[in-house]
Amino acid sequence: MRKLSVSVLKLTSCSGCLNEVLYSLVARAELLRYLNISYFTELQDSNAIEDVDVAIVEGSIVNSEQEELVKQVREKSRVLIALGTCAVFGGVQSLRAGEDLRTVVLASYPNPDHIKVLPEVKSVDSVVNVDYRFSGCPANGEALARFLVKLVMGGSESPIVESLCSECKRKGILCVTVFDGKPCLGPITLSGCGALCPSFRRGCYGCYGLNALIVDREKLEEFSKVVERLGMSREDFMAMLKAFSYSSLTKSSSSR
Amino acid sequence: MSRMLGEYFEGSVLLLENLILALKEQGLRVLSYKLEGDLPVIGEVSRLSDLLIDYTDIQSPGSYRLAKEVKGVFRHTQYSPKHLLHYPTQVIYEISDDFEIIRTKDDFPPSVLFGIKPCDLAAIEVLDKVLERDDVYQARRARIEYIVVEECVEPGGTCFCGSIGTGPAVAKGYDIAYARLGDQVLFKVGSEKGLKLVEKVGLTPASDETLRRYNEALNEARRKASRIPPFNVVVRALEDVAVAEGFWREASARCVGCTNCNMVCPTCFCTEFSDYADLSGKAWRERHWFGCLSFTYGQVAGQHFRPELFMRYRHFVLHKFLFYQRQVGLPGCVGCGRCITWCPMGIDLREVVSRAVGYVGR
Ligand code: SF4
Ligand code: SF4
Ligand code: SF4
Ligand code: SF4
Repeated sequence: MRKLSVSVLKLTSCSGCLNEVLYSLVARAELLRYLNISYFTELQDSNAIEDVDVAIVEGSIVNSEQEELVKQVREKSRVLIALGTCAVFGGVQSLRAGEDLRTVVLASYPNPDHIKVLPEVKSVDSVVNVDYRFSGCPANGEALARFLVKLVMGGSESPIVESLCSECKRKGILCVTVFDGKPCLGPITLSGCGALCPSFRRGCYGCYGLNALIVDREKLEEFSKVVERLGMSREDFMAMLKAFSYSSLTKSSSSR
Repeated sequence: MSRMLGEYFEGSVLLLENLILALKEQGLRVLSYKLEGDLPVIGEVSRLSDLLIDYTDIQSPGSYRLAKEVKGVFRHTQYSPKHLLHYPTQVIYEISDDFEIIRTKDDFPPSVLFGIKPCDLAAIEVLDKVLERDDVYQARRARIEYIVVEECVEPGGTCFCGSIGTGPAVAKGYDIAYARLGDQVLFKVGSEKGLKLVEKVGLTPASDETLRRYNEALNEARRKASRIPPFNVVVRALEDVAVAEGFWREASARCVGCTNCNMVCPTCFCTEFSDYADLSGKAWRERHWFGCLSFTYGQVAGQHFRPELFMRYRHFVLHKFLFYQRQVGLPGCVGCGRCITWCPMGIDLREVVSRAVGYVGR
């Protein structure tokens, strides 16, 4: 086992994912001993981006500075991890995509001149190659910590791509769609959260992002009819997709 | 015929309580379909009123409701005996820091499966063979001391066991079977152990009249549960359409690959491993259910056996109807209808395999 040098980059995001990771790391003092954190905007003053083993990137890209920064970090890291739905899919700020930028900015900031944003919201992998993805809003900090343990030990992990329903069923949760007739986005959403919403007998709203390796446009259309029949408006459905799966909607996914 | 007659008994529905108590007296845990809050699950019961005796499950593609009604007819739920015998998620062993493999201790107590359905029993028979060399499953299976089956006088909305031949009655593999005919219950004895139990509970031999009613009810149920062409016809048709890509693209057009069908199917046995470690040197291997409809299933280093969803859907159906036969000599689909009811898209396997019969490729 050897120490890993790590840089942690925060782009446009709420820091919720990094907080989750911090909680998990704090509970694992033994892992922290093997991590040499060389760059972390929220913990350190250093602004120098050095060569590292692992770069963890939270957030999506909304201006050209961020794009440059991510490219630099990619060049200087052996393994790049996209952390959270913002990094993997664009995240909630994608809701503004397609809207008039000035109106959006003015809605929140009195002086819009300080805000430098592009009309588009980009996921990290639309700009650089990503090695591992941990989506989720927020991401599962435990999953990332377990993965870091493996990296420290010289190992790795093959991602398992399945829908939330797999996880939900393994947990023994009675299906809220079939049993309660509640709309649930689990069937088209990536697993990883531990079926949190269904375990409270609520429908999933898709915060881990679309299972785009399977769900193409036609399937999405078919699925939308099912949730609509169960009472979710098309508008709400589209808003959830945009908020948590934006980058996969703009890609023309092939039929899987 | 007269010897068989001697194996039929009858009694009031309340005698089921005596049966449960007699089993519990032997120190056995009795497992059955029951309610947990308002949720139909499978788990430990201790008296007749724990059973879903006054409930009816209303099942249709993509929908399940439970109705409370006196003398209801309960079939099954999302869960099946698979949940008890082949755990959804479990750590199967740990590896110590000096590389010793420590098997996880299994504390499954001696148990009884009570009131499971004929299709459930057929599914256990399949799992017994498929998981023949799985010592985790076998250890648990060996602790099932009795199997008490409830035969179905009224099939559910998605049942089709009659076409497969796995229900609504049982022929072997059980200790006691019973069928509810109103307030009367007809009991069938399937083993020496079962016979001893029946004697203890004080059942009387069934009258000709009860037997006649039983046969009538079961024949009617078999007719109702024959909702697809007979199994052999379906098998031949599926052999013919096996390579007809258009058929499978159409059949899976609405499928979103969510794997609910895999998870609820009482004969789906596939698992995936996840390894975990902590830095103290301890590592452990977790085994969990894994569905062939998911993307990663069929993925191997650098390649994918079934990259498109229609291929995986086709695999699911052909495995159930053709390949299990070759693997273990039994149909892999027992006709329980769970994959139809619990599919959020309401995709109906009965329709798909029925369409295969007489399908002319375009
Ligand atoms: S509750 Fe939602 S996530 Fe769970 S199985 Fe049903 S549809 Fe899938
Ligand atoms: S499939 Fe047959 S045996 Fe199973 S519950 Fe339905 S009627 Fe009963
Ligand atoms: S449950 Fe239905 S939608 Fe989900 S994988 Fe199975 S057939 Fe497809
Ligand atoms: S394939 Fe469907 S109907 Fe057949 S045994 Fe499995 S869940 Fe039941």
